[in-house]
Amino acid sequence: MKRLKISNMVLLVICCLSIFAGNSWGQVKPEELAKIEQAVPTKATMQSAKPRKLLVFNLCNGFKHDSIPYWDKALEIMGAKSGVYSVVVSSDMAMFKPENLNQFDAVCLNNTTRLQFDEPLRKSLMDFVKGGKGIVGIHAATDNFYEWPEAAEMMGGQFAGHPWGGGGTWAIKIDEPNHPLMAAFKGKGFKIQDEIYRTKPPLYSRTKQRVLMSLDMSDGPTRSAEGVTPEDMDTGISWIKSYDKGRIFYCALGHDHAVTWNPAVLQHFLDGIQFVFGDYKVDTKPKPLVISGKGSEMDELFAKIKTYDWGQSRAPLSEVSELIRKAHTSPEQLKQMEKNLLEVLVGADATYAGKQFVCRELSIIGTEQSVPALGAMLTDEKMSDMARYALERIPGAAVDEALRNALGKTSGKTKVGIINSLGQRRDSKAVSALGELVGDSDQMVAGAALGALGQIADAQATKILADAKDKVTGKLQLVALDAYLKCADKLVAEGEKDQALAIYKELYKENQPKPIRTAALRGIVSITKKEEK
Amino acid sequence: MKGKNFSRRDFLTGAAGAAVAAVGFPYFVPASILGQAGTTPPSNRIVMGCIGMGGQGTGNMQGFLGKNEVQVVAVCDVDKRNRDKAKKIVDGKYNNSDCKAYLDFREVIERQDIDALSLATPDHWHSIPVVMAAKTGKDMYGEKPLARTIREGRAMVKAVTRYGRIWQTGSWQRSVADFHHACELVRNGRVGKVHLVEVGLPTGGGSDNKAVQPVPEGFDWDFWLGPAPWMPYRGVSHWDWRWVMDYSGGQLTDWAGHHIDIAHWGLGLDRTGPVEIEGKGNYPKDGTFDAATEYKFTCKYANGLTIIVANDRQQPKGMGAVWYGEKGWVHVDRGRIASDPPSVLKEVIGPGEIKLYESRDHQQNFLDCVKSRKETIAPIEIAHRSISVGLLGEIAMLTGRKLKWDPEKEIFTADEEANRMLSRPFRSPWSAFNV
Repeated sequence: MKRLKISNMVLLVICCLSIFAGNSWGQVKPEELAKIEQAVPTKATMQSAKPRKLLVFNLCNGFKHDSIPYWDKALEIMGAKSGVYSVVVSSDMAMFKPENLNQFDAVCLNNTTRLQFDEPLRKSLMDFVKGGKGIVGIHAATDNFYEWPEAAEMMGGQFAGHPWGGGGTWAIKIDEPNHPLMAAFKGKGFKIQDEIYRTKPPLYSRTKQRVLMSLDMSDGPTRSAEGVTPEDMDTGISWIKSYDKGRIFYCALGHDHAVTWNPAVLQHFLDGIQFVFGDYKVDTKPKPLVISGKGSEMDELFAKIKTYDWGQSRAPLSEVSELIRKAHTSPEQLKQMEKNLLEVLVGADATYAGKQFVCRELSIIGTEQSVPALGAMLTDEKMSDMARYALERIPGAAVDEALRNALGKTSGKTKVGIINSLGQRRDSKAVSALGELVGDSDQMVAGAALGALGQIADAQATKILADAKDKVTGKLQLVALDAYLKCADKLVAEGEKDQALAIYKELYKENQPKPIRTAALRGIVSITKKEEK
Repeated sequence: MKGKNFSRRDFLTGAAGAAVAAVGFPYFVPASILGQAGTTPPSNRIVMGCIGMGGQGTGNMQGFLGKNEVQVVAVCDVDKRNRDKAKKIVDGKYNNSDCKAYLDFREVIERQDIDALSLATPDHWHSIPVVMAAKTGKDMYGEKPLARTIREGRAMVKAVTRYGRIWQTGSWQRSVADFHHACELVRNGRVGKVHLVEVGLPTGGGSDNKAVQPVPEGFDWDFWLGPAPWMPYRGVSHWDWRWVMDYSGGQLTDWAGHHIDIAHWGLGLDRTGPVEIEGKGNYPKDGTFDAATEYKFTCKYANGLTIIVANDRQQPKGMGAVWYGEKGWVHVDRGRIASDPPSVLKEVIGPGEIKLYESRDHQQNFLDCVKSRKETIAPIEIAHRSISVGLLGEIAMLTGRKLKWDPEKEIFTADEEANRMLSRPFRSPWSAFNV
């Protein structure tokens, strides 16, 4: 009885198929069929343990893709020609009843949309997958299970629009060039005319599935397609996952008919199908964007920093920043991260943008370990600003020393930057050297030195400024007077009122510029007021 | 003595000057009294220069152009298109061609005939012109947020204070009746002791990944970058700089100078800051823009009060400031004010109660203060404390840690990494501290 029922079902399915073939939306033209015949792989990648059966399911309760009959045919032909599997094509939900489903080794959701599973069918499909079988998903296969979160989670993503519309040509990068299921692409990214489905986090996540390829956001049109958001910068195209004892393979391609006669894509599908059958044992371990921070993964990540340039995907940079943030509680890990960053910095092959990123990170976690490498960059006029970006924020006497050492070996703007950093760090040991620069023939250098002395404002700096303010001319005069005022302010803060008052009184004299007199008077008043109290 | 020894500004009128010096100087004699021709009475004219002629800067300039007591004589922008457009507006207003257009703001600051500046540069360019201009004795109307980092903000406060300059921040909500009313009600205890404040600011930011491209003709990209780390032009300037953390902090720092400022005002906490900050932000991990698009952080104050700042989608009442007291709440936002119980809004502030500074025209308040030398409604210390909350939240979210803050010393206690983020090293030759 049961057997009879199944064979009836199969018969029915075959009838359906022929009806579809007659439908206008389902017409695969003979010349197109010929292209598919030409393109499908003709041999199995792996030897199957036994003859495999694939249920190709194509019911749509939502949008119906007209590529469905193409995939029905392509899957059928590919199975037959490669000898890997045979197909049953159906759109009857009854196929998911255990007695029907269990004759298959895998289900292929061929662009199904908004499938509705009642409770018994849900259990049936879950038992099927968890028990060691699996699902192959084509394109709209993620446009399902809106009321069944467990299944959406199993698929590893859910449809959330397609900024990359059909008719456009989009770039795809191979995330896993060495993964067996990616052999068809020979490690090379490609461009394809198709519609790309977006699957948003947190359902889609590299912590939950192994993403094999994804959109290449370094490609202008792909990156700037209308409606693309920063979240889309990681948009998976193909992924696999283990699900209990079963397996999932999904590929977002397959909207355009022409995809069904793309040899590489078909080969990728055949390999994916063999994986889902359980005949192709491959690594399904998720590789999170934020990686474990160990070994080769780390090397891979930092290699991406070395080649980073503006306009490219910033994702690897974000990964490193995230790793550094997470390493905060572990001094050991932080030290290792610092070391990794420094390797990029000293390597001859790193880009300017990559090095700048490194300097930004070192500015937060850098220690004296970083000082030799950064210090060496100070005298290089192209790198000096970047080196200072890190050094100025790193505490410790070694930094001050490196800055002071660079002072004599630089000129012009580079020197000004170093002076500014010394001032910002209030390096008292730099006062003598800065004092000598007050009379520098380069006005920019002299001005910076005066300013830095005002920032440091220790006794020696105050003395130098007291002298310099009467000697410098032109625009430098105001800079010197301002710096001298700051010395007085600092004396007030330290309780040295008499000394401060003497400076304010001197600066309040009628021959001084008006703003300086104003400031000096305020100083005098503030001291007098405090004394009255 | 007047007008003779002090040919431009009679700040220092003998002994009287000393008595009032702590708040400012009592007399203002505009540059125009020295004989420049003008149709308005010269004794009332304030000569202004405008720096940063984007949308906001041009809008502010047009506001000042509408004031009879103002004469705009200079406009400045690193983009020729912006400064030419601004000059045209000024010249059209005065029916002459006298307005000068500058690329380099330093030339405007050095002009001795200019009394006051209107400043509306991108955030990363806020501190430098202010510190420089204070030294040349200019009064300033400057846009919020006060500064990109807390150290820059403090340097600006010090410079403006040291030189006795009048400063007005573009936090114009203080000059709007609803905000004033809400703050006065809260300050006078109409909802009882406040234990919680919610501040809702806009959600979102920029999303795109722009390609490196040629710099438009007439736009000095290197100057625009100024103190920020060098990078090639990618079509980001003039507006969408706000979503790049090198230049700004997104919606959070854009709006901190509004609704956080109002929240502080209603509490009388606008000259101090929180003692503990913790929060989470969503920072785009790819694309050109990296400022938080969603954010939520909690600030605890020494008096036990909590302020929760978040993008509006994470706030129960959306945009605006809500003060929750033991007797009810008041919520104010642009164009709406509400309370629980509703009767609170009808309360009148009686004699002997706290009256907050009143202004109904933000730019006029600045001009009045330039003349009277009194403090404006949005002075620089307050602006610094308002944006400090936003910047502290940013650091807490970026580090992902609960941070302890000393609002007096303005340092984090026991978080050396976080303290590094209080300032940013500037690209040479720029400095907000040494020059």
